[in-house]
Amino acid sequence: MIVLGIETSCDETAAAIISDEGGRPRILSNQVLSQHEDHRPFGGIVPEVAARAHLRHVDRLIKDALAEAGIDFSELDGVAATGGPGLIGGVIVGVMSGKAIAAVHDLPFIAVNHLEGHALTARLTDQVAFPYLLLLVSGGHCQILAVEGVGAYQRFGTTVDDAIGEAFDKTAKMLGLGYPGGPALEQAAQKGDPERFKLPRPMRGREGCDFSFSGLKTAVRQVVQNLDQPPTEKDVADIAASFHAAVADVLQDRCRHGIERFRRRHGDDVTLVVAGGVAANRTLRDALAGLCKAEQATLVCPPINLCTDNAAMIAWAGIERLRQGSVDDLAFAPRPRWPLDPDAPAAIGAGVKA
Amino acid sequence: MLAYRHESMARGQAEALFPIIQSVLSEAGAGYAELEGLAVTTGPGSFTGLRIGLAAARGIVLAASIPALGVTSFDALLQAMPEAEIDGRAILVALDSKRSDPYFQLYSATREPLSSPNSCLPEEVLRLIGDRPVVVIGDGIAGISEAFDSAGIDYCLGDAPLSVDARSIATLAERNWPPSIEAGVLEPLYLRSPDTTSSDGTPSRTG
Repeated sequence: MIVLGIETSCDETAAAIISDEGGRPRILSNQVLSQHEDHRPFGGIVPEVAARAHLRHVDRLIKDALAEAGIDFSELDGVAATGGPGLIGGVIVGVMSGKAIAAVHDLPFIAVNHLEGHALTARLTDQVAFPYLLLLVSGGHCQILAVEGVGAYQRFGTTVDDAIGEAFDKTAKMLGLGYPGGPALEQAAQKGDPERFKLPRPMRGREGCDFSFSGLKTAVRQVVQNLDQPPTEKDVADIAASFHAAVADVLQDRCRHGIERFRRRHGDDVTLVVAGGVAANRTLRDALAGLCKAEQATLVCPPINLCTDNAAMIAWAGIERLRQGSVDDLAFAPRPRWPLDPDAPAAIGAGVKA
Repeated sequence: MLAYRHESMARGQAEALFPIIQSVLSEAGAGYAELEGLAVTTGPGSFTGLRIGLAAARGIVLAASIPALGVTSFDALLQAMPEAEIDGRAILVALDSKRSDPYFQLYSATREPLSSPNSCLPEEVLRLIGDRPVVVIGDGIAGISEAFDSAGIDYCLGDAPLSVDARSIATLAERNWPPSIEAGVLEPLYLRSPDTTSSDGTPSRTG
């Protein structure tokens, strides 16, 4: 089975092709174009700028993905495109491109939930079996879920305000580190003292698996304001390191609760999968590795280029859906909001991040 | 004309477009394999609406490996205008931009462009028209009629359709086939930069 995947829901335009013969998935191509340079002048993602860039590039990326895989449209068994959630202007571009290819070549069309793409990546890279525990941490999302099957998710917790990647970007902005902030903040933290500033650990010790990051962001702002002068390089490094320490503590605590809840539901064996762009952060990965060691759980972190937004995960989710016979028709309506677990109660203040 | 369908909708085009294409193909007794070319509106218009059509068109062009022609909303409306209505006047195609500066293009009585596609305030449109008598078509007239009245210029309203029609697109494509390299590149004609402010507070002119 060979499926084309298209991803346009945020600020990466991407196309990829995956084959799966006898349970041995292979990434035949994986084209990703980052729009970071388009958005950098604005210090954040501008939806209209993103939508324009997706239209400008997506057809060429699809062409490049086919060329890299060395195949023709006629060899495809399906076309998968991110159908949401995300910035709707971009989602529309990818969905219409995917529908067009499916229509012309009379192929099944699969509208993939972007979050399901992240959630199932570990099955592409590490053949992880259901069920497993998922920590989904990105610029737009921050949730802990039990992944029980394709299309079967139990949300244990989500953020009640900012996503974790947002907290990184906003903190980096306050420290003058530019956009996108995550990698710059991690870099700055390398030489910093994580003990110098006492930052709060929001939600730590509370019941459940919910997150909150707005208080941490406010605390960083106060630290910056209370400095006698504009932050020196050392101040920036120390704040970045203290911020990382706080986020790592919170993630460990929330995931510990997740592991306990997962064990009550599914028994002792727990695999914790980390997905989303924030999984690229070395400090946080180390913290989760420490937690899993202490809890005797297995940690799976897919390669970084498959944790950040990409189309390989969309093609793979398309394969998993196609195997189930769960396809969409060409009247599919792009969905700006699309929770993985529609039965989970809405988290106040979390918006689409829930 | 083998088949034609037109549905007015404020939203939902992303859902409706492929079922509509399928229905006209079926009615014409054809499939995608029979298509030898494709033409599509490039704008101006609703940014999202343009992208729905253009992403679909670019996808079909790529998948079917066929040539394409982009048609501006101005040329499409002009095409639909009956010859009798021109009566020696210049033609102003004005489109509602939802703001004070309409989208417009000025043409001669023989339908040759006198200006490029543009967006500016009614006063500047008036300057461009000068003392030419004009006939105005398009849904942008409401936003400029007051300025035109007080300027006292010689203008009248055409009876052409207010919005772009797929028949005009197909007719223009047939007349201009095969497309030039320039017209074959399906680029949106936004005529407006994204509404953005850069982090240092200056409005953007990108896009």
